[in-house]
This record gives sequence, structure tokens and C-alpha cells, in this order.
Amino acid sequence: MPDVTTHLLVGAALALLLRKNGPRSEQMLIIIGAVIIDAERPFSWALQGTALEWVDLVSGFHSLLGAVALSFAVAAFILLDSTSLRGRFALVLVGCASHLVLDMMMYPWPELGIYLLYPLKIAFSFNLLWPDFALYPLIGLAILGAAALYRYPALKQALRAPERETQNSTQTHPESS
Amino acid sequence: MLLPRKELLAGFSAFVVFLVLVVSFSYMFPHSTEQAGYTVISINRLEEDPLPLEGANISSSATVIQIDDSGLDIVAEIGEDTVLVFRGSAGHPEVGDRILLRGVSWVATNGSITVHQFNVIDPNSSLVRSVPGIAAFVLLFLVTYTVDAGRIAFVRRSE
Repeated sequence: MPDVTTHLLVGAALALLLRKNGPRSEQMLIIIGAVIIDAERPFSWALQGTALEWVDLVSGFHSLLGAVALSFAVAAFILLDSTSLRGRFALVLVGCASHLVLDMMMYPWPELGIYLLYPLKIAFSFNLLWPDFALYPLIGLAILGAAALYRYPALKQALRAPERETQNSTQTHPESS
Repeated sequence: MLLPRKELLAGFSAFVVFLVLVVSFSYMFPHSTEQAGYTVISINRLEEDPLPLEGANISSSATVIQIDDSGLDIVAEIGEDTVLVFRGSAGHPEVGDRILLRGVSWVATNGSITVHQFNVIDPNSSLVRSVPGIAAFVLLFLVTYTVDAGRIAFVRRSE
């Protein structure tokens, strides 16, 4: 599955897009949602090789049912006086949705597509990448970069400034070219 | 005595109910349904109860512990009792490879799985790449929230 770093970067991008001027505590809810679905990992690993190996936490957490349950639990544990439970729930759920969409980029075998409609075991996957694809974090960085450029036009202008300076100097001193 | 908030109780209850559902569903539906014609199953489970899937297309993962390249077939041991048989164009794994595989189970008959397709994965790569993300997440969380023991909640730091 895409790593936590990629999920975090995409969560940060969403926080930037949806809550640019919101308080950091609200932005963080989206980031928490983006990574919380993988909270089953240590427990799933711990269960491997034990008598409880059959408990399929991965599929349960990586589903719409899991996203809703986890979002509600997180929203209940984090108390922001200015944001209602419903608002907090929605922000975490947005992050969870980004996690599920990213995980759906993977090949669906074996058990690597996600059972979005769990407990119905119908695997959803875009069949794009293997789970150990090394460049996932770069995809996350690219998404975060695109979000930053969209949200901060000044950043875009700053990036274009050297380009413009070069053009100006070329126009001012045509002989130099 | 400190009474938990109503919201907290609701959130905690929802999570516990969810976990109970996951355990129940895992118990009631132990085998994954077919994915593209292959039934997903762990090798351990297949070895414990191979008969229901004898001769069926299965999808699983395994670690190659030994290779026996004997003529036409490449046989890879993945446990004491089970081997993978790679025929013709199926490819060639290496010892120590963690592979995702699709094939036909003959575990009950002769302890083998005939592999149709496989892909070598690096199970540690995702973990290694996750380390910066986990560190950043913990840092961001601690910078943003603090514990309010009175309300049994995380609250924003400035509150």
C-alpha cells in the first residue's frame, strides 16, 4: 500500500485546498483522516502467526464502513470548541477518502485491491501500481506542490519571477543575446 | 467521579461496534471472494484446510526459501509441506523473494501450487518510506493538540 508519507502529503494538500485559512487544528483533522486508516498495521502484523491471524483488520479498516467508524471515533476524541462534531467528522472523513482513493491505485491481487463496500468482498482498484512502487512519495509531493501553487498564487508568481527577469533583460539588452 | 463526555462515549462505542463487526465478518466469511477468478487465501490457511480449494485458482503470497531448478519446472519451496511449481513462461523467482502469486492449488494432492503469474515485492519498502511520514505526523499532532485530561480529549494547543 502507499506509505504513510504519501498519505500524509496528500492529506496536507487537501488541508491546503479545503482549509487554507482555517485553524491548524482543523487542517490537522484532514491529515489525521489521511493516515488513520493505516492504524491497523501494527495490530495486523502482531496478529500474524497467532491464533487470531484470521481477523482481517486490513479489509475492515480500508473500507467505507471503516472510514466512517474511524472518522467518528477520531472526531469524538478531538475536541475543538469552534467546530461541531459533525464538522470534525466531515474533515476526518475527507482525509479517509483520500487514503482509500490512493490505495485503490494498486493492483488488486492478492488482497491488495480494497473492499470499499466491506463486508462485501468486491475488490476495487485502478490497477495502476504495485504496492511497493518506490516513487509513491513523489506522487504525494507533486500533489502537495500543485495544491500549494493553486492556493498561493504569490508562490506561482515568485517561481515565474526569474523567468520574467530573464525576458526583461533580454528585451533591454538585445545585443547580449 | 469523572464522567466521559457523551460524544466520547458515542465515538468509542462506534469504534468498538465496528471492531466487533470486523471480527464477526472475519469469522463468518474466512475466505475472500474471488478476485478476477482467483480466490484469495493465505498459504497457512490453505495448508490447514486444502480440500475446499483443491484444483481451484488461488491468489496468495509467499516467501521463497529454496529453489530446485530441475529440468522443465522450477520448484520453489515456501514451507515444509508446500512448493510452488513454475512452468515455462511463468518466470524465475530467487531465494528470499517475497512474491504475490496466482495459480492452481494442488496442496491436498501433492503439496504443490502451479503458478500462473507472480510478482516479486519488497515488503519492507513501504515501511521504510513510511518512517518520515510517521515522524512528521507525530510531530504535527503534538504541535497542534494537547491532552485535556478533564474532558478526556485532545484539544488545540492555544485553548
